[in-house]
Amino acid sequence: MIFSSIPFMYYFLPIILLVYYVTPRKRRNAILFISSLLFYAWGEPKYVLLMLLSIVQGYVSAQIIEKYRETKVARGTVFVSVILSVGSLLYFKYTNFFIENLRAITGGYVSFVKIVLPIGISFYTFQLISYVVDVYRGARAQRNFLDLGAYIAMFPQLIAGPIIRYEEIESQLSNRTSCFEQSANGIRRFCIGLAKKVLLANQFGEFITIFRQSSDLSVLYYWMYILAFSLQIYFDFSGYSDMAIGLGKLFGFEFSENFNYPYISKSITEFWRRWHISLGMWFRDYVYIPLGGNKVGVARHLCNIGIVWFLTGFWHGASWNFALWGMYFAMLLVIEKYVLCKHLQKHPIIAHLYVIVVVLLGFVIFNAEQLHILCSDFKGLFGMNGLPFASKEAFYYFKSNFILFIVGILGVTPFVKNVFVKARRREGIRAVMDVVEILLLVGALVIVTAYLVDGSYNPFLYFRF
Amino acid sequence: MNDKWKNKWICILFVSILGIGFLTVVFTKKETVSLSERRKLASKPKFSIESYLNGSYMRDFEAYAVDGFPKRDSFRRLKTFWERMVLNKKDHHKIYKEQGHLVAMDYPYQPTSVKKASKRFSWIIEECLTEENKVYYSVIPDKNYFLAEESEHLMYQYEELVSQLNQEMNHAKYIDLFPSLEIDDYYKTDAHWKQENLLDVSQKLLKSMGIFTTCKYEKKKVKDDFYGVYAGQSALPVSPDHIQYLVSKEMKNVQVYDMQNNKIIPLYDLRKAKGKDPYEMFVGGALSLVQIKNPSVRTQKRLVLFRDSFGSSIAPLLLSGYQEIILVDIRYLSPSQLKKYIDFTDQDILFLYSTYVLNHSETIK
Repeated sequence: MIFSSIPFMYYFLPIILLVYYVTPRKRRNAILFISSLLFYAWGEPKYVLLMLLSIVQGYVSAQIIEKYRETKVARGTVFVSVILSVGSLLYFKYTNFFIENLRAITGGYVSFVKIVLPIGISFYTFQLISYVVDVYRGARAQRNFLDLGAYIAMFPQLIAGPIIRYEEIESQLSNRTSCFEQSANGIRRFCIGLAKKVLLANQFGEFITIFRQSSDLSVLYYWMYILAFSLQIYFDFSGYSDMAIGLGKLFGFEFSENFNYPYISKSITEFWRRWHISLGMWFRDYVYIPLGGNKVGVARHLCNIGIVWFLTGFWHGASWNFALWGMYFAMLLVIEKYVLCKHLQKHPIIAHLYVIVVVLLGFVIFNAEQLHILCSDFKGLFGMNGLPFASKEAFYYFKSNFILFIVGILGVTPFVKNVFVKARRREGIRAVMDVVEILLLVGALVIVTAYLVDGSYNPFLYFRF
Repeated sequence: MNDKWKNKWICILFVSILGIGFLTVVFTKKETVSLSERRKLASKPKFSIESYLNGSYMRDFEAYAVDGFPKRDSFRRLKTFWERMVLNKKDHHKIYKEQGHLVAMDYPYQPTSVKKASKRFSWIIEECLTEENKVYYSVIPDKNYFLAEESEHLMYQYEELVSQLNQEMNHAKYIDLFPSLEIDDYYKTDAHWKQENLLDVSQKLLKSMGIFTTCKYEKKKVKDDFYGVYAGQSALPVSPDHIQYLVSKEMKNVQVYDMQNNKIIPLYDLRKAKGKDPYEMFVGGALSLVQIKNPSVRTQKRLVLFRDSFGSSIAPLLLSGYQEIILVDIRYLSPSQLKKYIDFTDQDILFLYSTYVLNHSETIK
């Protein structure tokens, strides 16, 4: 089930909210756990058991680690638990990728395995690893299985993040309150996320589908495509994170932010502090720092960066373009660290343009799952395959989507938010802005419903990761 | 309003929308058919372990939830309104409004599709016909041909399509209808042409096939409003069309036989004019084989008309020149079966197809 769907909005959510709030506080985690299993079972009936087994594995491992803290048993248990989690992820996500490459290298025939990628496995596996490792590092193990289940399987962030670290949520699991302010903030975030996904990301997605089917390509059309894809993936993913954070607030949780206007960054280093923050933090804390981080020699440091970004790219999907995408950013980060950083600080406008261009080009790699598509996309962008600068179709869709692009470009900056906040500071306008805000939220909900009623099924991009 | 009250209002409104939404989706009676979209709406799926495990139950339920959403048409219109007025989009589901007409933006040109159609036509010519048969073909432009350039929408070069057919249909004579048609010959809300405006087109076809005859027609009007297929698809605001049809004295003696279902049917079925697709009132609508006999005419000439839905409304106007017309729709009947049902001896043959069907010939068998 996806958030931006009629079954979720008008069947699942009202029932769960009602049941959750009429249930005594002590039982609410159980309700959350059960509803999360139902939510997952709707989309992935066969793999509910896999997720439950993963949770049991994490629960048992943490209990053993806590009981035998500072001993070889604890060390062995954390090792086995991480191997089991990573092994499960590797098996379900990467087996056929490895077979495909084995076949390509050896020329031999190895049959593919019939596996369907369980939705959200990349996210809940990382949460599970973070839990077990945090317990190993000293955090208290969760005694209550239902509470742990509610944390790992919590439906607001189960299938597309953000990746919530156990440390962040430990106290909230046992002690959280709800109030109108928190709920209203949750509703705000949920509606904004919904609008980002349905009114922006899906519309850019439609444009990209038309582009991919076009036989009237041009350089302009390619640049429109890559701009549209960059906007689509941002609104899709940050929209989902907004909805997850918003729903979390509705259930009394405070999740950490996952996006912070990444496209306004002035360096790639800054971009990755603002884009998919929870994934970056996870790799920093559970891979980069354990490898030695930057407190090692230059060669080892470069190697660490390479490993982390190869894994970051590869985490996004079982395809070489994702690994290449990760390595592309590793290279940029190294260049920035050792060469560019000082210059970028002196020229903010150039720095900003540089980030936009390299991120856009990065998404060309990201969205080209085959080498020939990657080559033709790059050639198309730079007019190297004999395409004209503009074509009839490019002009038409440029005009037809002009406002959508403008709204999208404004939407990736804090411009609208800043205007709203400034207007609210003026005493005379404040009351008007409050009414406008309420109307906008209700309007967004109604328009989104109209799009969902009219539209077809639109899965989130990040579901496949 | 202070922040406290604002937050309360946000919560109250959100819960109300979700709550009212939940109660209406669960307790209101669901429509089974969408008249505006001309399709059956998804029904509530039956639960079984198998359908649950293979995911079909959830997929079907999602379709049911969307199709059965209360005030579906109003929400669809709201979406189109938003796209038009706020986003200034130039088309909606590839349909746009220009000069009061709803127009499908059929684009791009698909030569492989045209080739497939011409191949099937050529196969029929080679396998079913002899040199004694006079074979003609003609193309009906869609509305985009007339309005796209002016309204700056996408259109392909229609000349290319005709030129390709000319090259690939060696044994047939082309009858050019493009100069005989204009945008007002089509319904505003539908893809089809209006029968009452087709007298000059039918005369052109008859003359090109060597028949010089005239006939007087009386115009009659179907009382009910006609919202064509584009009205429902696009959800754009538009005023309805009205179907008119032409009758002549000779038509009173005409016998129409539905060879697909083995029954006699009316030339103009006024009950269908009140149905979900009123354009089906012409010669039974979407049928694979229909025979029209016209005993009033003195000629012995007979015509086999290979056609799409446009052919239904013009066929009655060709009756003045033919004793018998057989309408064949090879989207519903494989050409390999034709000889079983039709004796092609001494028949005139006309392939009459709209550009849309030629450009999307995957439906042709």
